[in-house]
Amino acid sequence: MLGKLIKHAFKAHARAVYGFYVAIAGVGALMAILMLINWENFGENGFGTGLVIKGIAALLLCLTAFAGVILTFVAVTREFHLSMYGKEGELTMALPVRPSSILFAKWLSGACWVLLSYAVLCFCLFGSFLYILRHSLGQIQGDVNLTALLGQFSTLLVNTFGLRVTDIGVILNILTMYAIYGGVVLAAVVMLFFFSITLGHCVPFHKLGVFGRILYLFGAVALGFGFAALLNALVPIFIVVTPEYYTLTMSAQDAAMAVVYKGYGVFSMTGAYCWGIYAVIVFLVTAMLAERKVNVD
Amino acid sequence: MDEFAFKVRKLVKDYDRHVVLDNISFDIPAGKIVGLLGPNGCGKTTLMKILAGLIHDYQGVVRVGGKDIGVESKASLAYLPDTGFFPARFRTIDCIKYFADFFRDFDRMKAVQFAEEFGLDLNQRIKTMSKGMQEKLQLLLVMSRKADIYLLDEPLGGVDPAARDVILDIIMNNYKEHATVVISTHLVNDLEHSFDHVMMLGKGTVLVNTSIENIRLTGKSVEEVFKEVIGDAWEVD
Repeated sequence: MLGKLIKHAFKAHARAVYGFYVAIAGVGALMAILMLINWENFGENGFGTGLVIKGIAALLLCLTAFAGVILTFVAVTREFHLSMYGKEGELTMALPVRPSSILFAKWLSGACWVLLSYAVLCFCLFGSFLYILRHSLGQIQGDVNLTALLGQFSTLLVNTFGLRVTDIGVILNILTMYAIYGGVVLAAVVMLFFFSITLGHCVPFHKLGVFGRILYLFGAVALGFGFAALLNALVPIFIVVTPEYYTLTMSAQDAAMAVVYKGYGVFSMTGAYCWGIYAVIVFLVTAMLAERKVNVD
Repeated sequence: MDEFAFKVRKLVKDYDRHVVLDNISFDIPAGKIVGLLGPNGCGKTTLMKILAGLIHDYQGVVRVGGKDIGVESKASLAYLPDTGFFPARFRTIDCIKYFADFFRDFDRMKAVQFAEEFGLDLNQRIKTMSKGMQEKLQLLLVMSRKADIYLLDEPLGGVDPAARDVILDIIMNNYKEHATVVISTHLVNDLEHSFDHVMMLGKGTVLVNTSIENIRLTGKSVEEVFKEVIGDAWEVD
């Protein structure tokens, strides 16, 4: 049954968010066309004009992708609300499955779609950045290949953050860790949305209506940060990235010194694992509320 | 299957201190066609939702087919609410597939046959259907299940008198043999000949819970008894 619930949740979410991917594809296609045009054929100022238009297109792509993440959140939470506690809830909640299974299926699907939107946003931001960098460098150095671009990107990061880790592979690993961390936080936030909607349908919490649900969401997020701060103080775990190796440390002082005095890269694992744990706790509480307290009426 | 389809003890349900079901207890025998009668607002829908496992914040004990309300009771109970419950984007065929996916007792072929018989296009979306068509589709799907208990909330509520006979025929000709069928309605006259058992709700309490034979022994029709006992119980409290 869980497999079927997941299948239906994915289909419902896909229908709600596909427009966003069509829009991204459209803007992406526009960028590709703009890249193929030889702007120097458009007179003396053609090259400069082309650069400005391509810059605007890159910005548009990033804004569309950013809006996409927000819209995916809205679509996922709206679908959750309607299918669990709206009219559709009369069917969903009467299914011979545990509400926790329904909740899990919707969370898995919702988190996957949000993460996909987030991945698209990261790809668009990174791609647009390289696109602009390529044009800036192209003016100076002529044709620029991807390796040279990544080298420039790494130099930019090293100079901006004062890192001593210059290996592009290591830097990409740190970025990947931050991307995973962002993913865990986003998946947790999806569950916090589900929790606030569910709590907003429980007696007596339903009395505050939509305002209450927003309030519960902020409360849950604040609690999450509090939980993260507590774990950070009690069980901190950092990955220190040096040019030669990765090492784990549970000392915040060592981690800070590694950044400040040695210029190494440091990634805090605590944030990622505490939001993961918090999301599971909130899932269990939400499942309990859906099973014992919520009414579909 | 238990001797009783439903066993309810000391059930209390209120909405913000407005009591709708006030400490009611009753048993409904299994294998009967039961009329759940009462004026609007007397708690019929609330009671049905509690039995279907959609309302949780009540007090008291409720057992459905000898089981506590949960996955097992929901698997053996086919519930038809008085509102549309499919997403607007669904087509008729999507609704059939959805039921087939989740209800093991669902007869897919019967549902397709039903849809064709009643002129429902398999590819038509819910959002383009009239209210009557949606109600018919939901009823056809619910009656395509071989459930132990059917809970039908106002199946004749929004339909014209001509369609009532069709709906009644669908119900009476398609429920599983020896199943319990509970039909809530305030249209007593249309249905009284179909019932084996009636339960009347009013003022938050059970006013009557008896077999049709016992009512006939009084020499009165169900409608007459209904008018007599409901009398001043038109309001909830």
